[in-house]
Amino acid sequence: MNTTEERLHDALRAAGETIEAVPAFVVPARRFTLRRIAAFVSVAAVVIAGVAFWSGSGGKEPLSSPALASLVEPGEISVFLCLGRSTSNPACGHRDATVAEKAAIQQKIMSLPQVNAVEYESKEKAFVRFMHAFRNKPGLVSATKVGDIPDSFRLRLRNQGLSQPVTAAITGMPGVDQIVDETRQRHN
Amino acid sequence: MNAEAVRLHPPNESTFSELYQGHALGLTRLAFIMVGDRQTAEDVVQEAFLGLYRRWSSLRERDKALVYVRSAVLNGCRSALRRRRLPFVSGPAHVWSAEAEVMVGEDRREVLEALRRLPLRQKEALILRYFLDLSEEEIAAAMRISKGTVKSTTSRGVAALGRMIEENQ
Repeated sequence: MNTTEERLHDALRAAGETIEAVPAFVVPARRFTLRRIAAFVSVAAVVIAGVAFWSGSGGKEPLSSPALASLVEPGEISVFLCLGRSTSNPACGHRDATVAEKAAIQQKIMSLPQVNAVEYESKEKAFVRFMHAFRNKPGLVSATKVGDIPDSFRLRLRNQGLSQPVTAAITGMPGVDQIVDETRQRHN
Repeated sequence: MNAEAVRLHPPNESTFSELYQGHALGLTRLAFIMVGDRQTAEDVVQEAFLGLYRRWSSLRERDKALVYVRSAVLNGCRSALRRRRLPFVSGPAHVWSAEAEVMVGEDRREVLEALRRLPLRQKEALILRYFLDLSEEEIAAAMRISKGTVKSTTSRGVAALGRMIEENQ
């Protein structure tokens, strides 16, 4: 039987952990405009073109880049982390990114001056966002499960033209599966 | 870092950013538990650190800086909660985001809902004690009350919480 204190401690820890990361500190000239969550959760703008790549195979196949890209908000860079059961990238070694690898990636991201804000999105949270984004496509939603979309770090830059040094710095880090850069106009 | 940079205001970058790196996440989580939505929590914490940044010359000591940001976060949360009680602000007092609901089970949510119904001071004392694991002295400094008051507030809070949870069984 848990004491009240134990239950409280446990509940608080669990609630706290729903927040995985905080934005980089910004001394604002203008207040927090780039970090407004409205942009993050406004999934109505998600490119629907990616839908074609979500097959009804029950999620056994790893996600292709265009499919992941459909979840990345315009103006963002998403760093998708290795998830053993769904990645096709041999560099992941068929295993999940470790806690240490994630910490190192986060540390790296937070050290980059081009980064304005970073948010960690767990696979569960990504799945919830995906369900919301494609709520008009129940067939698609039922074909996808938690884990088809890996954990990721979502980055916003101070200046959208600065993505190259950012992606270059993170590419190849252990635990990184794919980096999707939606900061520029897609030419396709 | 060269000698020139050390003499400059704004603050010594490495100390301030160490504090931020070390404490911003925990304080954001604390604020989130207090106010119930992530955006407000982030804003409160960013404001608090901004205040620290601006007052750095007088708060350069780590202990003072921590007391300052903790108090600032608590004050920011109080303001946010007060604003929410205004009659023209609609919506539930606490909103669990869809993803948070997935991650925090019903059992734990029950405890947290009960916590939220406590008087503000008891709620603050309990969160500082059982989430941030602060000492009585640190809680007293952050809440600007005496250690004795911290002790009594905490024990009353735990007792009240226990009763509320029992009533729900």
